[in-house]
Amino acid sequence: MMPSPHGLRRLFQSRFNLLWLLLSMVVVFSLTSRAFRTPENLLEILQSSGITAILVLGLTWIVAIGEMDISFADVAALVTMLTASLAVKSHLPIGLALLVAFLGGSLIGVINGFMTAYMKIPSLIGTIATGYAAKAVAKILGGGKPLPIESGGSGIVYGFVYGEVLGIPILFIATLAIYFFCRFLQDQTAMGQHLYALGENRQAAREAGIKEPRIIFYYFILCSMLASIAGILSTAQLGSGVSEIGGGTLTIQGFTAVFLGVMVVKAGKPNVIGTLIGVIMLTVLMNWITLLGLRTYIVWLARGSLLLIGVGIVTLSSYERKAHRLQVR
Amino acid sequence: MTRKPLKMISEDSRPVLIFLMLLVAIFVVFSFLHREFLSTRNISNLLKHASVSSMFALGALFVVVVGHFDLSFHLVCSLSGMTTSFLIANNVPVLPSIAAGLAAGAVFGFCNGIAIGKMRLPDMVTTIATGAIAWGFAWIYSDGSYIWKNATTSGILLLNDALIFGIPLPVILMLAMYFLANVVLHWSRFGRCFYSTGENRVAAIFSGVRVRAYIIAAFMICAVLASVGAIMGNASQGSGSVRVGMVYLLPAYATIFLGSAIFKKPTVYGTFLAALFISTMLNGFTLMAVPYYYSDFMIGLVLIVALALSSSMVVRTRFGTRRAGGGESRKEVAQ
Amino acid sequence: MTGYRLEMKGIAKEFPGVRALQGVDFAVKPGEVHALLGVNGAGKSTLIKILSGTFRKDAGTILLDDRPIEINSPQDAMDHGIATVYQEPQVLPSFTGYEYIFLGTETERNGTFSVVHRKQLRERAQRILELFPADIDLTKPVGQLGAVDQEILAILRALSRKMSVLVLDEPTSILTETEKHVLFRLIAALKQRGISIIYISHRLEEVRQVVDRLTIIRDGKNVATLDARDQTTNPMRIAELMLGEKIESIYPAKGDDIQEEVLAANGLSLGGKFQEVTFSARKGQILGIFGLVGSGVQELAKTLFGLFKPTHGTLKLHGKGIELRSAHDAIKRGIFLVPADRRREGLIALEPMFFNVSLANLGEVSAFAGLIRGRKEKKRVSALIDRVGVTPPDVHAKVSALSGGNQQKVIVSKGLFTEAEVYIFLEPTAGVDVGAKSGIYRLIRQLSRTAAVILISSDCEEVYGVGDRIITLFKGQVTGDTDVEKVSLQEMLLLGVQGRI
Repeated sequence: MMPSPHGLRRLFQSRFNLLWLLLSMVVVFSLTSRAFRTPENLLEILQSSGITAILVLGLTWIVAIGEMDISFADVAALVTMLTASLAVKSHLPIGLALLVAFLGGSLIGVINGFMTAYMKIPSLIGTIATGYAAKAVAKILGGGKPLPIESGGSGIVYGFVYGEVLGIPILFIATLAIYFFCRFLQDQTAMGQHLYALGENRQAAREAGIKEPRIIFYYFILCSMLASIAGILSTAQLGSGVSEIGGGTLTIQGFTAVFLGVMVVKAGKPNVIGTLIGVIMLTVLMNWITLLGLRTYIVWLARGSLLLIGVGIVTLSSYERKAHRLQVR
Repeated sequence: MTRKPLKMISEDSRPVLIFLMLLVAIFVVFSFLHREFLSTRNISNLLKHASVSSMFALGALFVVVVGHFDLSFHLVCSLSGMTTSFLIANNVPVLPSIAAGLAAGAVFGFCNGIAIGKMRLPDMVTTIATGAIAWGFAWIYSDGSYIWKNATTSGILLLNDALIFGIPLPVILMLAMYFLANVVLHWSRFGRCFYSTGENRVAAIFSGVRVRAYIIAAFMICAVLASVGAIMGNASQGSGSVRVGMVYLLPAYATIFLGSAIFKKPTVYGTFLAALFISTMLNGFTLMAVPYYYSDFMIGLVLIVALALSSSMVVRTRFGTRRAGGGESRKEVAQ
Repeated sequence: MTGYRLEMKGIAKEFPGVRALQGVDFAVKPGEVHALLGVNGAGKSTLIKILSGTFRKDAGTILLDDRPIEINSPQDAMDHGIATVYQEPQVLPSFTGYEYIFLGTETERNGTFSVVHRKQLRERAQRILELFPADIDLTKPVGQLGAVDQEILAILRALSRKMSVLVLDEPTSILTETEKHVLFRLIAALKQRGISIIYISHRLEEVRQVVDRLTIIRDGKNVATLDARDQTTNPMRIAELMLGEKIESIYPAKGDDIQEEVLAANGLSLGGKFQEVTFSARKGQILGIFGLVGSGVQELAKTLFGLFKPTHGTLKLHGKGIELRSAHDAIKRGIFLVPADRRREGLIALEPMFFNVSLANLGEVSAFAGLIRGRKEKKRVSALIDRVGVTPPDVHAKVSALSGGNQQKVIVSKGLFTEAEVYIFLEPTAGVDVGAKSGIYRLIRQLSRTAAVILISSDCEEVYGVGDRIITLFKGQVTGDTDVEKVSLQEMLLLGVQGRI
């Protein structure tokens, strides 16, 4: 939004603080932990953050408009299970199974969008419900257990997930590409303008003629579509359908990444590059903590605290601006 | 004068009657489908399960009444449950152990209340965070494994097994808590303040209601009641588990909103009836050996349907202008 | 060809219990600045809201360039080229000026995915500025701009969409003197381009500077349309026409029994909102404070109720200095505010009457452990309702179903229930029809016999008619402080509206 200096000087602005923090973290961790700096580990980080980044891309924009989506992690899981059950039980060719699963996951987004934009159901509860239902369906399909897929035929996706170019996972490159494309959409097209207008002041956006319900509807679909893609990638990575990816931590990680991202790049607003940096940062942090052999609870404590701090900073700083308008609080 | 009774069985009472008929219908259907359904043992199990799950719903009800959401209680309660089990395993008598567990829950409830009521942090994300933190703490005691030492000797199992006048203790607890909650929320001045805080925070402030205090109280009550539920759940399993509360998050909200849909606003009695309904459904499914995830799905569906039904009025006026960060509507002065 | 750009003929609009407009005519020529004047409640804002599409007219016709048009929604109004800029335009603080202007019209095709070329937007914005000069930095974020610039942005946005009629609602209420001139220059440029401007304001002196003609409305009907350049059009005459002859008997007799002082303020100030307010509120004497939006009266009312903490000055209750920390505190000490926005601030709409009335003093009807004594409560509430005259007198009725006047009475009952010693009324008859108004005024007079009453309002007639002692506030400064007999209504109006006579 604000005009930016050109060239290299851009990188030294305060809004890129988190990026510098991330880089210093990587440097420090590499120096202090042998296990951290092995090529396999770094690859693991890039891959894992790649999938997570795609998963939460849509979430960034949902939060930017001022809504919530708690179902994205369950959508991804459902997609893995749909793929597995279609391929294994209904004997569909893998490609077709993936397509149907993708559509199924996106359907959840349609329901979420419809509930929020047209039925005016608060997005929080609505998506809790759909997320829950999605997870339940995934469990039903799998009989309560993961459903392995024999890998024959998942070649392309597998290659996509695990393949490398010059030692860097294709997945990560693709994620970067998608993110930069989305950044383009966000910053350089009318869509982005309308997005932030909706998030900042719905009334003003309506006055400008922006069709509020329809756009909100589309964003929920987009979020689920992206989550579905992440689900497809997870299917290849895991080799089976599951009812829960990442042990239930994805939801909180997603929000933490988005809120961390708010502190970067675009001061005070959820934005995609910020989220990407946030995702990578979290992945690096969690990877290091795991390597340290710290017990699970510390990891959870760290996650929760990070989110809390992020939310606190974002909320309290925006309230300072608003406090000047004397209102009854 | 004769017109009155007939008129009463229309409009407001209709949803209630329909619901009651549904409840009876379910009972009838299930008793046909499975002969064990109406047995003492099964009804006892049904009610015991309802006691635990309805405890979570009751706590969350207070938070919903003041106009917020708590997404942490199912994790905070684990901390409480584990605290209690840990103390019992270390030979601390039952009652102080339970008290300590409840206190742990209360602390987190208080923190939630301060963060959301005083610092005005967004309730949804904040409770996601505090829940994670509590969850982390819960693992400290035993690295996440079950704690069952001294369970049989300490007397904690009585919480689940004892019978008072032939009625299981958990059921007595449920009835007692619900009665107490009903008194507070519907018959006392505090209930008026809770409701006004949720229905119109600004007008409540203008009426001298100390909204911040009530929000803090609501979150504390939610945490403590969830803790009670967790301790009861642990007692029924005979060991402290970090996962004890996790399955109750969604059913709690499904219960509250189902009750809201029937009675047009969140109420104690509405929540009670809805809790019975859902527990009956779940019990029937279990008896018929339907895998648990089908029932999960049903609950999600129930919630969506309940939301859709109560959506237009109750939910919108209560939560309609809630945003993750911003978006103020134009002030409309009546002129 | 009638020569008018916009004509509104015979516009009528009724709300439940209030006839806001009864056949109003209003016509504007191209390139003309035309003021619409009237006291609060006269019908100006209703007329404008019909024009902007917020309300739908019950009867009458609207002609744009001699063609009849229908305006059923704000979008319709925009499509017809009618733009409205309200008192405090909705802003997007982080957007830059040029982004704000072109929000929604970023490109030719207005597609969602059309690429936004910021350079292009800046150029387009420049072009508009060439036509309508305004000294404004369009690259700054809107949130950092001052009030006048934000208003100008809203106007520029209207211009970017090719509006032919621009409605400015109280454009100068938040502007300083220098800022006003910036606005007037812009208006002159608009005039030159043939754009018609409807100017709504209370600033009578100012109106004469910038306006060509003015139309005065009173009680939903036309009173006069004058030429602003005419010698005889001076603020005094305008005030008279706006007010009419009637200071009738809707106002009860004045107080004659001044008793002890209850609440006193000395040098009370709140940041940039109001300064050095000093008064002495006594039982038996109604203190009337008159000021428009932006004069600080609303903030004063809330400060007296403990919602804001004053930056300077003292408050004394029965001679003892007090500090109010919250509304709860104020109520406990016996100060009660009947707020301006009934629905948002005064009542819990979904609940019945008894719930609302007892809310501020629940201790009165609680037994041990906080249990509510239902019968006692309903009895007391019933008695209050009767005393105050609420219809229908059903304690179980949901307050959302009551009329404005009755809702107001319920709020007063809430105050009575707390047995307050000081009642502060803020805009007590906003949206209340004339019939109910006199009932409320009588109620206020009755109250003042046993409590101190402060009536704060932007309705000058009301303050003058009901108050015994008058204070006027203009842009945060006290411009008048006298007994009601010593000042005329017109003088009081001018003191509040422009700060001097």
